[in-house]
Amino acid sequence: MSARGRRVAARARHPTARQWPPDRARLLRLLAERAAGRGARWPRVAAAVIALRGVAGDDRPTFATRVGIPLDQLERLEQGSEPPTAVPPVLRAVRGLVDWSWVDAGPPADPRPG
Amino acid sequence: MDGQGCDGDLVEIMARMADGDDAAMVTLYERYRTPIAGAVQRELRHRGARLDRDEVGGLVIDVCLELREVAGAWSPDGGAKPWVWARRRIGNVVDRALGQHADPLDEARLASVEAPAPVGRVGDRSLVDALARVAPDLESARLVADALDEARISPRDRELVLEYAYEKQAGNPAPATTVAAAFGMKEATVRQAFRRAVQRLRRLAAEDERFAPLAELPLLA
Repeated sequence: MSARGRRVAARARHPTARQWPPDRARLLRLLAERAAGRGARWPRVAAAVIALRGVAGDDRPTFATRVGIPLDQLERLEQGSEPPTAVPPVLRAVRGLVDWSWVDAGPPADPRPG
Repeated sequence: MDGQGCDGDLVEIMARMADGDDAAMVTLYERYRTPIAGAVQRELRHRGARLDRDEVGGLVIDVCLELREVAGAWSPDGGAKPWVWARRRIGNVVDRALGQHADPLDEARLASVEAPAPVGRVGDRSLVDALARVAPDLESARLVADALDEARISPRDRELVLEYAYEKQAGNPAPATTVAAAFGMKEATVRQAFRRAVQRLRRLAAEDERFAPLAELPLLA
């Protein structure tokens, strides 16, 4: 192995090179709780879409353009006013970040009184 | 991404968090959870506490949420990363978590214990801990504080020097690794900043009689 290769391998072994493992399921639950607290009818849908936009690091207009959906549709999804069946296939096609079966199994929240 | 200084990416994330965008909180978590976990672990160490990785992972998310709440007050001009700037908040998150593991308070026993005398202003706990460790008596602590002023060491480097010295005195075999993770800096940069600051303090101790006792302190050992 070259000296450069040994340096790269040594850096990769060093504790500071290790990333803290993500716990996205816990993060999704937290986002869903927050969405429910804001009165979202479909808090898990809101959590999933917000999480995906967060992973992308986009603001809403950029993300809407990236995934090819109208901005107002994205806003409705993030507000949790759309059911799981309204999640566009382009978002469902993202694997490994969101457990879509958990999203689909989420019951609608009771509408807020008043 | 976790290098020294506050990059534009982090500034933008904090600005979006301040605007109430939960997705920005996810971005913070995705990109900076490792140094945030370092900050959480540092607070745990300062309290002599240990939690398992799963519990620390939960605290990292709680800290991201906490940072979202205070994002509007953070400014990159100070030079500190948000998780360094908000260390007291992080300490509170850790204390809340540790409180859940504590034994329930015995109210009757508590009532029988005389309240301690007030000790004055409560400062940044971890910094006070660090200062106490590197300069064991009050007079020495004051001298160190004055010397840091006199040597014109930046606010960030003051924290860094004290944390580094604290970790070293606490027996941490790799203080630069710990401090680098907490401050979001490279280890080499931490070592360099510490060395530079200590050299300035040594020079001050050698040239100014008032600061001569500094040479005897663990900080400059």
